[in-house]
Amino acid sequence: MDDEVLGLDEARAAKPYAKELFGRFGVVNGVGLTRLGNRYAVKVNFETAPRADADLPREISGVPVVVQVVGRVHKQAGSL
Amino acid sequence: MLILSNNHVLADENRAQLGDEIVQPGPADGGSSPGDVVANLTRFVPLTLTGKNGIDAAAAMVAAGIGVDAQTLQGLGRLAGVRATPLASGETVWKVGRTTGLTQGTVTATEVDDLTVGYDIGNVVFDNQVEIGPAVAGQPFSLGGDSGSLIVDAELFAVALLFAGNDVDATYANPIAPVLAGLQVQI
Repeated sequence: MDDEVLGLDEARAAKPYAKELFGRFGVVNGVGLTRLGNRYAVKVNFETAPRADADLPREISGVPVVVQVVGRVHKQAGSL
Repeated sequence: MLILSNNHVLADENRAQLGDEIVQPGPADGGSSPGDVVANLTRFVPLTLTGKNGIDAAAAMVAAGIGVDAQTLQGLGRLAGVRATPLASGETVWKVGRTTGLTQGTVTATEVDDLTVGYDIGNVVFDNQVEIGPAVAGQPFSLGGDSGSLIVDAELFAVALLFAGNDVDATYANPIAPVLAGLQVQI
């Protein structure tokens, strides 16, 4: 994990736009940072899958975007 | 000596009172008062439904006469301490949890904002969370009942507190620094 990873500031700056932009394609639940090789990327999580024909942006202001459908997220308590 | 866990585990999503009894095993596993009381709720950070949350955390004071091994992570070894630097995507992490036991995961995202998590009290939104995926496909890093697990890095330094997930391929955890600061406790 010692290799230099580029674009942290740019990825952080792109995050606020990601929820709005990707929200047009489905319910977004979480926008974070991840890595693609030696670059930071924005990770956009969907609660519901975008339509199959959705033309999702692959980057925001030059920052790569990684998309995952995570579904519903809930507390992980034990159940009675 | 304190037990570290989540608000939703020890403080019933804000509904508990300081001093309430904590049982081990938990009620879901048949634990009950008075025979299984091991601690009393000491402090918790309230969850809010009206704004952003940073942590889901609580602590309970271990009762007199209850033995505690606060240094051994079963199956891993001795806890090394608290890591000062933040986690990075791609790192390997571990946890020992009530449901899935010892599991290995990989950090898939950091600084996750606008994460909506379902609770009994409603949907709770978090900023600045860590996301962890399974190290082995098809074997979730965590499942229901694993909340409150301490997550450690490859050198066994504490890095995060597990609290949520999708029971498949995404676990969410609070970075350990704001947990300790919010509760005003130390490991």
